[in-house]
Amino acid sequence: MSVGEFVLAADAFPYLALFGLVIGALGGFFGVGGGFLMVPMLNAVFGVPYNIAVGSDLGQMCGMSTAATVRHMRFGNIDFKLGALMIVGTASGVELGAQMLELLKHVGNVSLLGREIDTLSLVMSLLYSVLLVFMGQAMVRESLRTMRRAAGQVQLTAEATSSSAALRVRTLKLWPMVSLPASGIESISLWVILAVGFFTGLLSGMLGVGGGFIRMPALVYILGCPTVVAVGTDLFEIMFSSAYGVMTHAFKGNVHLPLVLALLIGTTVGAQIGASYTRKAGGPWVRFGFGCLAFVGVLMVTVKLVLKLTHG
Amino acid sequence: MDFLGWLQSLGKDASPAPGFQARPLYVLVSVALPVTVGLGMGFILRLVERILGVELGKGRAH
Repeated sequence: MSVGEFVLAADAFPYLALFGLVIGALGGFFGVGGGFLMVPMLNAVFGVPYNIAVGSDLGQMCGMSTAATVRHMRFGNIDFKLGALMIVGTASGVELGAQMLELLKHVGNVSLLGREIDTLSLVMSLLYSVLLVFMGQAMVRESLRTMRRAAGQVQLTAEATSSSAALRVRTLKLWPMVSLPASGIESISLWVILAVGFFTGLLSGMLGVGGGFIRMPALVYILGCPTVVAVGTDLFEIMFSSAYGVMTHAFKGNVHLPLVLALLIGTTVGAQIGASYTRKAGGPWVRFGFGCLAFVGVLMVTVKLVLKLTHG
Repeated sequence: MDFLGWLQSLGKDASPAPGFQARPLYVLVSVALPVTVGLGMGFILRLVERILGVELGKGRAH
């Protein structure tokens, strides 16, 4: 289905803004964008087709990251050179992801368990389930490890392991090499930066997620950026990749403008509310709760898919 | 026509057929709307922080 066929009921606007506020508050509380929850929930709760949910979510993400980038610029947390280099890889990934989504949009129906189901819904539901399970288990495991470490049960720190990964990447002498003084990186292969950008861009273009949950650890643990610079540069990167993503999805008729506006109003306010409350909860517990939330998302996507297969 | 109606009407001609060509205004607004709202929100938050002397959303740090 395309934007021209999908008409949003006028009374749905406040509910969508409220939904944006809840997702924004959860994202702000857990310190992530919330994009990976937004798209499957828009589809499962409001019945927004996946291609429109992805295109419109990229629009709200663009607005959110622009607001956050303005704030981070003030603190000098952005490595503009790294961000600019990564944009090349990200834009290629976003375009490929959007083209793959477009291809799925036109494939039509497939027969599964004696029922007809559109390929786009089936593939996206499965991809989101895999993504949410991956994220959920990673966050639950990491939070439990941190809690055990705090209790003195784990000796080896994640940071120590990851720093060695960053050092190994920096020894890769694949021409051309670039230096990133703002991140304190003397020399690194351009291909590593492009690869990180491309992979997160692919996720962004196809699934409508910011990719921060992969780019952030990649910037810190693979490239070796300081965490504050990684946060600012990640937001700067999301601002451009989501702007490119929303543009390429608009060319394909996947951006629903009233939906973008409703989500944008809700998420910008919600993110501030959520972030303010994070201080009142412990870090590992916040991440544990977030991991559990991802599993709730998997459950909802799965129930929707099963209902579609059993009831048509 | 109200603003929401106008936004809805911009995407009215969007067609699911391959080879669909989006209207330039629809593409322009799709990018400009979030960027404008985001920039406005960013500067409003900075202004609020300056006036109140607080730092909003500091909880993201951990």
